[in-house]
Amino acid sequence: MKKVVLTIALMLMPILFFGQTAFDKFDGQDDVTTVVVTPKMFKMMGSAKSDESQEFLDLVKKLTSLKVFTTKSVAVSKEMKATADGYIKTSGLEELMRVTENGQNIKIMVKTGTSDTNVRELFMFIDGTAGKQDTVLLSLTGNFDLNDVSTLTEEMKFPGGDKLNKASKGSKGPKGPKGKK
Amino acid sequence: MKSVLLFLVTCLFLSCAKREDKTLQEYMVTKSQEPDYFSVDFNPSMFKPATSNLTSNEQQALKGVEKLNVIAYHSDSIPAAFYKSETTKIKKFLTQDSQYQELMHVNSGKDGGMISYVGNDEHIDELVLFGKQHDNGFAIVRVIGKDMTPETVFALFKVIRERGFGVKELKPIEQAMDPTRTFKG
Repeated sequence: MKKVVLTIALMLMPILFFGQTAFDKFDGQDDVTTVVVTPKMFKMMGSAKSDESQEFLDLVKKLTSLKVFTTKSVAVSKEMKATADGYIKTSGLEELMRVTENGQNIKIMVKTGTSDTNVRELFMFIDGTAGKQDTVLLSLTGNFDLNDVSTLTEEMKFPGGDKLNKASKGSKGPKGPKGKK
Repeated sequence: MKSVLLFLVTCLFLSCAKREDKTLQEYMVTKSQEPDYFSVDFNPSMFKPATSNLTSNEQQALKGVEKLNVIAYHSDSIPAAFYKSETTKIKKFLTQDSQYQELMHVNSGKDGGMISYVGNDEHIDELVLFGKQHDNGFAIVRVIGKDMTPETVFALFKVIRERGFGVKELKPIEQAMDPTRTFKG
């Protein structure tokens, strides 16, 4: 009997754990709005001829995935915060900016690659519980430059995009070799 | 103990046997014959009125589309359990059948949508749109063509965005058609 239980458990394991990332559990929850753009989509967008600006298409080619989760629920916000904190601790993210505004606690983090401005992941968490606003968790992965983020926020209207824009501009400071666009 | 095991095994077999539709295509064919479902096949000429806003490249790209196959379930009082079981089933087809590659999905509470395709980076054999709204129903669109490219996909998104299918259930996915502007609404 034990064997049978074990076998069934083993059979179910991959179903439970396969392909799960830290945030996928929020996807499809009743109080959560999710947008997931897969690497395939970015690849396709980058390869299709279109009338989007070249600047934007070049950037799209450097992106691999986008996940955004928003919620108004306080309970889910708490869970998201705990998940975000855990993720920040384990994934090598560095803080880029931290803002508190209108009761919203905003954290913007990056995982850098070859240089300080080479970004592999941009991660944003907005805790909206205190200000009774949306809680937002955003993860954008790829291989892009911090300076590209402003192009992105202008083209795509993320929740909290204005903050991201500030963060990317603010960081240009002394290191930034390129001027403002 | 043995009888319990036997029972479990029987259940397993029965549940396997009861799964009548193995693929999304089969599912759509089966459902198209059921009275509660609305099913329609479009010829791409339906795009004609909308194509005026397209560039010549986009019009060219759209020529790769051969037909659109739509199936929708609509009800003002859709039972929650039925909604859940059917939409889960459809999502399973799209996520577990390895030929379908997901482009994106959106979920807003119980509503949502998904865009997937069959093919490779250059040639798309089939594009599948799936949309659901818990107080309306759900719908699937299969876009089939021999010569579809990424340009076809985005030209199609543009047409659908402008024109829509007129099927409420597809709203969540129509809104997501422009992934770059998902949040500009």
